[in-house]
Amino acid sequence: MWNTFPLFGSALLLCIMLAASYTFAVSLYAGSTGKARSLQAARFGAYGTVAFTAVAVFALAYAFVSHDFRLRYVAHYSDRSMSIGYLFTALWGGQDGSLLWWLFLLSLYIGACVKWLGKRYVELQPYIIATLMAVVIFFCVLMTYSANPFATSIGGARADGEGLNPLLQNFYMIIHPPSLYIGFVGCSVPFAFAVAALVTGRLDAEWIVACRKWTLFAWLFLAIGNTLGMLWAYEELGWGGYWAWDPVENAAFMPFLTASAFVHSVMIQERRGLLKVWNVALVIGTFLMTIFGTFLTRSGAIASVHSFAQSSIGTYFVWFIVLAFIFCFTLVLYRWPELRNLVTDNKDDVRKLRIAAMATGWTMFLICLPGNYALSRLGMSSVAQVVIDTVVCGAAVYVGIEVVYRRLTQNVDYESQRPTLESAISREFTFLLNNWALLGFLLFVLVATTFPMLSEALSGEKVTVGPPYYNVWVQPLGLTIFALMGIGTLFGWKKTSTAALKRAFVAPTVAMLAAIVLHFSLGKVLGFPAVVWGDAIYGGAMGTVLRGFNAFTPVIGFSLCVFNAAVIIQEYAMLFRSRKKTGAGKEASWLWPVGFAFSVIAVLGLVLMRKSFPSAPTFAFTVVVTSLVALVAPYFLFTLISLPHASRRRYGGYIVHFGLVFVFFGFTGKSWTIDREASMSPHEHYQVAGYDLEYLGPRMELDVNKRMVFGDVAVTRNGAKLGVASPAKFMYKKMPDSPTTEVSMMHSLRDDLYLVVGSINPQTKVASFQIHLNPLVSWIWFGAIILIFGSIVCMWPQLEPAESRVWAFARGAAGATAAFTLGIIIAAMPAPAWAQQQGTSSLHAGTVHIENEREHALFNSLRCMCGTCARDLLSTCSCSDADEAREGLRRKIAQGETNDQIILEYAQQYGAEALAIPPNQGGMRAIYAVPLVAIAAGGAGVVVLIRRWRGSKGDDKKNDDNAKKAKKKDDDDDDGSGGSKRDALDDRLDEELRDLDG
Amino acid sequence: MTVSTRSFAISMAKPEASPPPLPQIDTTGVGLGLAAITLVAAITIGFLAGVGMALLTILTGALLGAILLVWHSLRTLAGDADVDVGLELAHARAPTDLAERKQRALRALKDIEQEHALGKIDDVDFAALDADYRAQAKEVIREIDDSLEPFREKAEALVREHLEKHPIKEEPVAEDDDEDDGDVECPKCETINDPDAAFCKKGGEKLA
Repeated sequence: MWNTFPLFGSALLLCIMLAASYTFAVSLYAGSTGKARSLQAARFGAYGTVAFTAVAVFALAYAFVSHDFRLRYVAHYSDRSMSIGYLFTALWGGQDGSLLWWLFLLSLYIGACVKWLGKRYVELQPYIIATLMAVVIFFCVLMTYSANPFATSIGGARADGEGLNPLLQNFYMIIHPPSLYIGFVGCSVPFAFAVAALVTGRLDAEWIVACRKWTLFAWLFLAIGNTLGMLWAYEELGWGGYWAWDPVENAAFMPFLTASAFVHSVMIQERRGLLKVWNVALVIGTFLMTIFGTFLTRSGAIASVHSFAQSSIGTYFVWFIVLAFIFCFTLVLYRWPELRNLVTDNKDDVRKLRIAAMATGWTMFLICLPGNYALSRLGMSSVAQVVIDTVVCGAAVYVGIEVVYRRLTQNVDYESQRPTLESAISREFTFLLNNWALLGFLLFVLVATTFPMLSEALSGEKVTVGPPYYNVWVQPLGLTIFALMGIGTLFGWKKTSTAALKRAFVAPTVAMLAAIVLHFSLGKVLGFPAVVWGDAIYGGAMGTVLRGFNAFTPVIGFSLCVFNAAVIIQEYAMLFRSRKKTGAGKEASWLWPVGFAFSVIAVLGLVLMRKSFPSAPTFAFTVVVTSLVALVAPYFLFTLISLPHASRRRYGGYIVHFGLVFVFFGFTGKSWTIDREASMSPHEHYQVAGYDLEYLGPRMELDVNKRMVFGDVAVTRNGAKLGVASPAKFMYKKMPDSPTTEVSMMHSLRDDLYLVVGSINPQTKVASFQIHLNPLVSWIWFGAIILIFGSIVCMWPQLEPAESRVWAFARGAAGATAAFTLGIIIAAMPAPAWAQQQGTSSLHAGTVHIENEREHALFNSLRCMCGTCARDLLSTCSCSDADEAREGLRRKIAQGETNDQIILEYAQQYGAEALAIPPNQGGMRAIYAVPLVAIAAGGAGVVVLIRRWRGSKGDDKKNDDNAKKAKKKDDDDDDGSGGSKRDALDDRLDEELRDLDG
Repeated sequence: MTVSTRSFAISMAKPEASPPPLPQIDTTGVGLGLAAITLVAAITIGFLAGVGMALLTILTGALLGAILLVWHSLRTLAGDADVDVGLELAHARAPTDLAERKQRALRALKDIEQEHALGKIDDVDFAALDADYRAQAKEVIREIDDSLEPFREKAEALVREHLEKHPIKEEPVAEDDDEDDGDVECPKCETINDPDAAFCKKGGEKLA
């Protein structure tokens, strides 16, 4: 057996495939015959598949732990010196193992889902299982034929393995991939529900309600995974930022956007039965995007920090996506009558409609595909062709089918069944806007991410889309979404009375205006000016407009944060006020004294820890905030726990929004980043923004793997000693030619001091430092935690207790306990926040010298062409090639050339891909033009849709007047029979309403 | 875990006898048992022989579990295992259009109520919307009742049929005291009061 352990592992993969195929077949049989026996067999088959996957993972884990270097994968990613923890981590360190890991997580989800389904949704169950099994089979095929973790190397077992890249041997490697994968894989479950709903034709709110918690869970882990990725980039990679718009980062971000849109639009379908096609398309799109995302990561199609090796694996993904798309597209077309509420009892009619939908849909799709060719004759850039074609295709399919249907359904009256909206001034409308904005942003990121790949594939022209492009465009788009988030919350379901809406706007708007005034007057004094001018990325009008807008994003961002915070606080105030009116929650008023007690304890604790605070204002701020939060928390948490289901989701959602406010606040900090370089001799001081840095001298240490050279720096801020930072260079024995840079950071609420040491001269001991000051970054992490808490509130299971005093007490106790626990956790956080952090590696060893603003603008627009870094800009790449390039460009500046001339020459020398961003000319404009046009078209679409939904109800003003007249008439008519005539059914209604969700 | 054996010879001899019961296997019991044994064994072996061996133990247990699960699935399919009763009975009716519309109307009423309580819909709008949706909801309820009418009649017919076959025996009615157990009689006016009354409900006299 030991000779054939690798064979055993490969055989396991085939066993998984076999079990999955068996389950797939049985579940389809169960679905078509409706037999409970077959369904049970399918369920156990699914459990069996899960178990086989577990066996495979444990086998690979055993191979790592026992250093079985016969396996190519084990030899590549581990060695004998690695600790057990990192041996387990190496499981997902490379391509093959991470695929197995994906499969493992998928199987865990399948096990949980099948268990949770139990005896419910028996109509959908078979197809849910079948869909999930199909995905399992795909990954098995991938691994068996392209990326087998159990494959052996031709050379046989080695004495020692290569070991995990030191860059990956850190805490974040342990948690970031698993948590992100949990998010990615989780999107398969709602997808399976959607496919099951489409196959069975049960397309009302059933499948949406069923998969609600799964969707939220996957969304939550997408958020967590992305946040951990940001943390990793920030703490470990050493380039000073947390998001580089790397294609792989974008690939993780895009499903998050579609999932966010989905959790909002489902509420419209639940309440109105509208947007059925849209929701189904969103879920399918989210799933395909996760597969596409993992394809981008693995296939090497786009150069990125995350690149795995180039392999044939990309082809498999493309095929899977194409097949999945064809299947889902046809399914949606087949079910078009159900999705559009056009099903009657006449089977023949329905069949005609189905065939019409499928025929029309496929015809329009196939016609539009070669439309590419027509567009190319018009001289458009190839990328523009593809994107325009896709959007036009989709629209053509939809319009085509609708036109055909109109003709087919001429004689039947469907008008009465068409759902309608009372009013456009409602949450239904703002949720539509939410979807429009999020999907517009998604399209923007998608086009920019795939632009290099499409451009190269279709026209051979290589371009780069670097961070400056994203950073400039994302500000207006992101802030629009942020603004809509606040505005939309003010609207109510069904219809918001205009007077009430105006009232609701008052407090947040006043707060926002106050914030603007405050920022303009105090901003500069505090070191956070309201207006910050940056570089224009384009010449001409577009560049100027963008530059102008982005100059004001600090104050716009800050004031929108205040606006959103005020909106959310107002919503909660309205909740508490209405609960007070009905007397709900009175039995828990004992929680206020409890909160007061917590508050006192917290303040006492903080006073005892006074020494660990760097300054008096920070201390005062912390005391005030902590005492308020501790006072309010128990009663607040009790209220959250006792809210009925639907309300809890709403108010949990507000907490998520509140977390996002913190996150956006952290993002605004980016405008005030300070980057400096300094060469210092020992005991020399350097001052920046209130910090005083004293270089103490170099220090060397040795350990088993590496030689470490530290440059110790004593940090003082406004007179108060903060400690010693020790940025370092690590020279690993395994990689002697590429020393890694270790970042040293000091966190505070206000900013993070980020130190990197370049080179230290052994004789003179002069060290060159890079000093970054990143304001407000810690707020992003706090925001993420609040977001997680909000999601948990949304997902909390519904308790069905009898209404008794005991239960009220129990909930109160739960609220108090939760508050206490949260308090302990939050109290423990500031300790590491003010302690010194040690980060690990960066990619290059040197430092970057930039002399002035003009050089910064120039270097920011050109890429380093050394070939070893992926898309690094000349302003951030610290390799020797970049140094030479910079010197060359400096000479050109000295000769009197303008920036534009220099950029042109550089592009001519190295090709279009040497530019950081696609130039603003010709077909390259497509990269922003197409998304913007699509967004505008989407906006028009929203207007048209709202008009259609309003139907014949007329406009709001007319309705308002009618309502007033009717009430007046009722009042005048007071002849004892009352305005609204109650009958027996009203009592029944009231009873049902009480039981609806408590 | 109870297993009853079959005796083919006997069953072949008596064709009218009902088929012998299927071997009952408590799958949850087996599953949990296997998992527990594997875990305990893994921890023990882990302490004795290291992490690698512990992993192998878990691997073995998982493999056994996988094989058993697939085997049980095949048994179920072949008819050699019982189907979970709950699953047999769980065939839900297709959510009818009427049920959906009722759900939506009720949800709409709840929404409007909540938004009104929060102050986003003022009284005039609330009255109009409430009346509108109540009318819609009542219409749907009436339609549902109408659609259930034929079934109700059928149900009543079935019950009548059943009662004719199995009539309810009438129990002799016990002599009713004026006082039920627990009721308190007022000493002054002799009115019967509830067991937990503190004062007489007629004259207000304090009761014991």
